[in-house]
Amino acid sequence: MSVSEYTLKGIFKELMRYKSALVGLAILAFLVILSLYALIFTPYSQAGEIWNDQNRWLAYPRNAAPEWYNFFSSKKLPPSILIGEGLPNHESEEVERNGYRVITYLDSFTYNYDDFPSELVLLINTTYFGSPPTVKVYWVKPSGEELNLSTYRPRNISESIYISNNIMLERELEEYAIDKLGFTPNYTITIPVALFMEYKGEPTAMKGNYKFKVEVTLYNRSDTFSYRLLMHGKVYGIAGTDIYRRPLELGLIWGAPVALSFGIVASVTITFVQLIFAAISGYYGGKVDSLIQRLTEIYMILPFLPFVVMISLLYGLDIWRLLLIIIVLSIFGTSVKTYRVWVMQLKTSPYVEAAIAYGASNLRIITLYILPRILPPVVPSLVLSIPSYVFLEAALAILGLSDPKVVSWGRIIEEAFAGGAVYKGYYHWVLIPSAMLILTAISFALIGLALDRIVNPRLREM
Amino acid sequence: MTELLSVSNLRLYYRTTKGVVKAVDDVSFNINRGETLAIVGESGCGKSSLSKAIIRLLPRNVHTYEGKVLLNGTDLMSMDEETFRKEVRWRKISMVFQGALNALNPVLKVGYQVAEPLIIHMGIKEKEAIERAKEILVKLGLSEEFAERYPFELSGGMKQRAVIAMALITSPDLIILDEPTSALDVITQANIMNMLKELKKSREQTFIFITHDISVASELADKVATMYAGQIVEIAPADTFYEEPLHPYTQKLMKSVPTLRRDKTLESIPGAPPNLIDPPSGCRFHPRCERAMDICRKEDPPIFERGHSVKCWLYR
Amino acid sequence: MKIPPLAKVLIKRGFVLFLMVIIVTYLTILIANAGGYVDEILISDIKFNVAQRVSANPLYKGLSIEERNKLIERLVENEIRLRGLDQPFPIRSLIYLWNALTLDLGRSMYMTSDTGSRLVRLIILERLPQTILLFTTATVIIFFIGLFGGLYLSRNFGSFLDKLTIYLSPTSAIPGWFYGILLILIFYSYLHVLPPGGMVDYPPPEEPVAYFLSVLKHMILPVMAWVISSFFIEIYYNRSFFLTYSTEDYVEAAKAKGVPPSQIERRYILRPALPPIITSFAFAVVLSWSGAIITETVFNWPGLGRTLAMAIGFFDVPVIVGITVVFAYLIAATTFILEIIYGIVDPRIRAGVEGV
Repeated sequence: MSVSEYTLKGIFKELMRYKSALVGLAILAFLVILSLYALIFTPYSQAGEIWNDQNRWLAYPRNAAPEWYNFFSSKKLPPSILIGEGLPNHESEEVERNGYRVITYLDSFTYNYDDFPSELVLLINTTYFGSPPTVKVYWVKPSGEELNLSTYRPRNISESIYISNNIMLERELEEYAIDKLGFTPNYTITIPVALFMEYKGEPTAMKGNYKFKVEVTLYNRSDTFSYRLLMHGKVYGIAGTDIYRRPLELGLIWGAPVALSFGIVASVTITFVQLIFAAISGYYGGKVDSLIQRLTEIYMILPFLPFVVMISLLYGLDIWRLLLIIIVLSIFGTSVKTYRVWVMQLKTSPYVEAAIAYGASNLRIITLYILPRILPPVVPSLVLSIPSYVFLEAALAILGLSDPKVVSWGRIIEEAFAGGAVYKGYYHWVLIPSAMLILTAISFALIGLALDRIVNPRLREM
Repeated sequence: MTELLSVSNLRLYYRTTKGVVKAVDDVSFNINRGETLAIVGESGCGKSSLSKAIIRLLPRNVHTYEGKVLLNGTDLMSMDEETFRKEVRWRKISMVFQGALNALNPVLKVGYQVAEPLIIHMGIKEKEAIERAKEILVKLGLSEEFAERYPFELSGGMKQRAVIAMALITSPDLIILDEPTSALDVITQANIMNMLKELKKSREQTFIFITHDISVASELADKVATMYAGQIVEIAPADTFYEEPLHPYTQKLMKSVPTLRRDKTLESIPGAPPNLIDPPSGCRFHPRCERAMDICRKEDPPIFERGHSVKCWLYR
Repeated sequence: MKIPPLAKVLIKRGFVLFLMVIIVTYLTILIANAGGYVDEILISDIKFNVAQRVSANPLYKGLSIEERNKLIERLVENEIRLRGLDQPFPIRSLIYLWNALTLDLGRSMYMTSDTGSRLVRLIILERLPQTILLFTTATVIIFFIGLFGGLYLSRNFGSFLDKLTIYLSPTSAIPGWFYGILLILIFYSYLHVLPPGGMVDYPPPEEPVAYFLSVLKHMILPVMAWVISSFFIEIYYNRSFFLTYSTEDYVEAAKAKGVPPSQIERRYILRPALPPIITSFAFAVVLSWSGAIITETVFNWPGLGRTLAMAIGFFDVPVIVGITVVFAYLIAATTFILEIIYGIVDPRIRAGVEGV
């Protein structure tokens, strides 16, 4: 394997002819756009904080699958539905009763899904003087049945009432449902189930027009009241949500710049440093050469991953220092030996000898004559090694060694494992960040393998 | 004199990403037993491909392989590969390769490789075959101990002798030598040529000697053929070839070779060797020929007999 | 006594390799101790030993708790001074180095072996065979698939299978442990046919054959994960590799000689290619062990890798340091064995030709 006759420009022009490379470049372009979007249009510098802040996500459903899941499933899962103040089909009627204001609100919505919402949350905003308002909540199913969802007295200015967590209400509704069924079904009747169910042996939702009735009694003229009902769905967005209600699409976007920069920076830096060492070693020979050779052999014996793990654990690394450690632990890798042989071959080539003869400095020869010539055959392996660094970061995240301030795809997978995604069947939580990793790897692999075929002349003819 | 080899209309074309290379394009010649035919020409004229066509060493991207190759009356082209392998390879035709530096397997002992044809084709047991190999090596000037060595322990000249020994050991009817001395220094070259001359005499060995070096060819050849752009343009007895060549290309070749004791102005041939994918129309040499006529540009000349064969419109 | 040149080369290499192990081990100690941990290891070890001795010694039975603690403290101080542990770090580090090289790896902080011992050496020895079993199996399978697949394709290149292999090689950009995750999702979570991890059913079968089969069942997914990951690229690389070797001049010469195709493949293509093949096999084996950490974690396989991952979770530094040292030794040993085999196979090395 000797130095190729291609220039960098020539290689990239040739690359355009390979369909596989074009696919790889297209995927890469998509990932780069995603990363730029993340950096420009999102508060990226606080990504870690935002991700770790559990209180930010209350408006999102828990463990929701991606919305496109419904496309493949026979059983249609509902998205999150919001009704109430400021939203369509919201009527109100105010009367006076016993000197107090009584407002009756009515929301109607159509429900055509087969499955049930995961939670129901009543979000109330109220200001009052003296006695908090009395809120009576009713539910009307398409069949006309009216269910009493209990009475509440909100004390804070804004309050979230998790109707679906009301255990007593759950028992009442369960009894009611069993009564209507005539038997005890083999599925659990939770509140969302009870509110939406058809009375059948199989858990299916009743489709049609639902009404939500709220009767509020305000005890003071100046009291105000508004509400919204949030029915958390089982599907959300492009990527669903996790157990902490975080929309995974955000995690995916935020993970893109990490994956790309980690992989590319690692690979490029390591390759260049290796080239420089190889150039010094091969060109100057002698003691420097021997020293670099010995270092290469030490690196061969050094168990890379255990070292990375050990250092990362004992010194608590953030992601950039981790990157630095990985680079330091790779610079005298075995590629240095291969590059060194090429440098030695080039050193005896006629135009290098001519350059020495007319007095060019060693530095000039190395940088202008030797390194540019070695670059073409190096490019394929540079590109091909990028996926392994991307996966290295993911691997460290899965081992729990990732930087808590950084949101990466590997970290999302680690959280998925810790959250029991495998056992509870929340496949999207694992599969979607995995898909991103796979996509990244494949794009670089396609490009790299096409480059490899270009640079290897013997294999090209074939 | 018995005719040993008769080649008629041999064609070998390769398929490449740039087009079809017509490496051997309608070649015909005869050789009698005991004769040496030298084939000379510039690099890339198809000489090596011709030798490969005769011994059926075809690459994967063969496009056309047709013609007639009669060895002692048997048509080799009609044989299937397995029969060819068992009956012809090395038993009837053997080959001494160009750049013997890499013709030997680096991880097998030299003696074994020389003996291998005996083991494969003649069913001789390994021990005895190696004994015979040692005999031949000694005859060719290599001491016996080299049989137990590996190729990397031998010099270029020694390896060439070993390769020649390997080609001789089954006493084939025909030996093709493809640039056997090109990679060697002058003295070793002379030694090898002497050895070949000796073999020619003692065994009445028939050779095809392929080279770009006309002066080397002159030492051994009875007949010389000039090859140009995949075609043979002239075949003449050795003396005639060197003293009175007919084809303009051959004449130019002669003029470009320095002679040791005569004062001679050297001439070179203008232009570059032709593209074998898209050769010039008509006579392929016409772009570089000073005596090219109108007809040379239009029609490919047939072979004329003017004492010997020459493919040129000048001799119509 | 005339030492054959091969032996000379090997002895030299062995020496150099051992030197490297020393350097790597020392490096490990330096890194681990820069946080002051290695000291803690040794001191806690001493405290343990002394405490044991004191409580076991009938002479001290009558002492009160304060007296006993005072005694232990004094003995510990003595011991520290005796062992030179009150010396400055450079000297201490050499003591640790000696310990590590002789595989006296101390006691763990929290973890125990299956037999209840806290000796790091025992913990490691217990788990090492499992790692070797799993990864060597996978590497051997991949090796042979690559070898025969590559040979086949080099004979038939340009064919449909050849093109298919090239187009599918990007699948190897994804590491085996990642495929492992996906395989678990498919074969366990979704299909429920294979176990999601561990080495053997629980409770483990008593009968040896059943035990063996149970282990095999648990090996299927991890091995399959690595085979899938390496499949196409291994075949591709081997194919390119053999193509290079089969276009050598001496192969053509052999064909002209009329050597039968099967012999050409064996003697003229495979034999000369053996040294680099062996090298890459040995590297593959070694690399697979030290990369085992994640795979074993994903599959909950009770090997050295998972032990390392657990030690991370417990922050059990003695175990972490010990495993790193053992891996260094393993790599060096494999490299050395490789060089022996290389020497036997390549006549140029046997003759003592260096730098080949």
